Amino acid sequence: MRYSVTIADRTVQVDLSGNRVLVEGRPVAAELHTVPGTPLRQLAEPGHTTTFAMTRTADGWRLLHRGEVWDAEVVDERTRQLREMTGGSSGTGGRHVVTAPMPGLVLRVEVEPGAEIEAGRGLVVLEAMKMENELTSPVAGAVTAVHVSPGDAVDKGTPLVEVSGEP
Amino acid sequence: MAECPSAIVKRVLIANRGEIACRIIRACHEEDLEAVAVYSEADRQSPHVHLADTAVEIGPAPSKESYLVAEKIIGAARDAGADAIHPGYGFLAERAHFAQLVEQNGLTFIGPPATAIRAMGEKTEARRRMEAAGVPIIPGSGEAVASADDAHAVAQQVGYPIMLKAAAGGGGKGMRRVDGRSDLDSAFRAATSEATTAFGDGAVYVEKLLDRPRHVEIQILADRFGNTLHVGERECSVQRRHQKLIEEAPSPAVNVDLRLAMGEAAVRAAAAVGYLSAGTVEFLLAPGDVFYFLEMNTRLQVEHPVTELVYGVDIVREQLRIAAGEPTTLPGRPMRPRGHAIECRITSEDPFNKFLPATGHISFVRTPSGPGVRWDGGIEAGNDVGVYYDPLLAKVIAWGETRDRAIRRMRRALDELVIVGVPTSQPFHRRVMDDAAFGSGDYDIGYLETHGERLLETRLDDGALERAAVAAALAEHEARGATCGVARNGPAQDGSAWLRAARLHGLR
Repeated sequence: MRYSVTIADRTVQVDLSGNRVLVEGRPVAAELHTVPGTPLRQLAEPGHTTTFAMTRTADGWRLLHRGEVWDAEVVDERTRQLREMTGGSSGTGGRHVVTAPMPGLVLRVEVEPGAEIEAGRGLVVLEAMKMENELTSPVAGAVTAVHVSPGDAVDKGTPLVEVSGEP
Repeated sequence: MAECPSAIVKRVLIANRGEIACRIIRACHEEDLEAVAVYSEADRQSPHVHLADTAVEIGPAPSKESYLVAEKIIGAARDAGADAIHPGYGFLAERAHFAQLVEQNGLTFIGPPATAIRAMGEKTEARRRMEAAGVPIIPGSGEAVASADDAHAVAQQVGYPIMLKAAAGGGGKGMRRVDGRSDLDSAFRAATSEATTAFGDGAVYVEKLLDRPRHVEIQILADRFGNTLHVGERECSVQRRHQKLIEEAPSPAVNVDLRLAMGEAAVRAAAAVGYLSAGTVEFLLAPGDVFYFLEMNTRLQVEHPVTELVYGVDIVREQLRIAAGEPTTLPGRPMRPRGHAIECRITSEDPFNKFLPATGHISFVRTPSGPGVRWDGGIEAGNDVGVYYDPLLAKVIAWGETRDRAIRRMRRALDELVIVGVPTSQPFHRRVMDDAAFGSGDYDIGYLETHGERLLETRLDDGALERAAVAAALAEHEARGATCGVARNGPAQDGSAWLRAARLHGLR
């Protein structure tokens, strides 16, 4: 089975078949051992062992190692080809939905529908854990919808504001 | 507690949660005192509940309905037969009304007298008192300003930039930097609104903003025998939005003479309000060894362990002794720090997402240990991190013979720490420990602003990328039911034919 693993925008091809591990076509001696009852896994290579704490995410694995954290998207070859055929990766035409990154209380809404905004412009101020947190627009463009008003309690993932990015 | 110098303290209720509740319970047990925990519905399974000798539920998760309700705390103390209350930090720790209520109910408040809390809690009143006691203060309005225009008038006298601060404030809430008249209106509104939310009092005052000072604070201990002593300084300049992230003792910027001068000023500040127990006088330190009184925290501080490690003193034990009417164990002469200590606050905030607070279920914790490492934690596997409380999960504290040794220890400790289930500030701290600017000791409260972006850039060399990718692919493959190259359990099996073959062929 061929997997495309993407971490921090860099993709590595890993082929697994039988007992063989190929990285970008190059054979690699590596085994993965689970420490029972924990999320710890040890990647054993000749002369080198790396311990990761690994948990499953929606599209792959989160790896913790020596104070660093990496999110790895893992896609098998068939899925990747399917995505390419359907052009799935960037099909939403620049529409960005800003969602609540944590549960909280909407204190202020700083934009109105129709507003033309710069990237980084403050959209909503959310209070959580006693702190006010300003959520900003990831892109320049037009505000197409505002879903919340001050005083609303929102859950993590609640859509707050939609911004249609400049082409 | 001032009226009752030989108070009997046998059973202490800790009106707090998380790591500080655990810290105080441990001190109680070392003094053969029983510890009573209180907990909200959300904290039923929290470590502090398990550590205590008994625990009392005090209401629903929101702190306004539990940890912040003075009457519930007093009621719990009465029900559990406690004779003293330690407030920890946050929650009711700096509410003069609470300290008073504790004493009125015949219990001992483990902290300063209500009068001292009140005097220091009202920031403009504190400034006046400090000025009178000969403690240097930052130029500013001296009292609350009624409007942005009034603030502007003061700003024109002392010069922009200025800082708007909540009169009833502390902990960085209700504070805004203002660089000129145009920013003032929105900053005034924001500071007032945040102050009202946090303290129930929207009054704000103006102070001149110093150019990149350091935040240095002096630990104080005062007993009933007339001893008001300073226990050296802590450097707290690595901050984000006035929330401290990393603290160390001693400060790289403080020499023996400056330590003595700041220590004596702090003692004057404490004595001016009739202080008792542990407290901290915060200063801003500007170039040229000029320092100004910032505020006094009339409570145990989050960062007290760094002082404990370099001065060999147990501050919570001192608080317990002082509350019971005993003298402090400290010598009456200035003490010298031994070695160096650093504390990293591990919070449930995601440094790669603007430090936004995160929630989650903690499924696994591996704590750092070994020589010179202290873990003051308030979490265990199985706990949920919710939205109701402060994001501080735990503190890692490292001691070394020198600052460089302490940094190396901290780096090693952070390498060992694993928290699975919620993003934490750990990666940020780990990177600071490698950072040359921090390592040089030459930094100020602008550290994060200056270096934050660079510190949080993605770091992944080719070797690490490849290993992580292989691990992720193997884990995915295993999870899908295949077993290629994967030992399901336990240690590596000897005699893996393909591994031998790979070695034989000299691959990698």
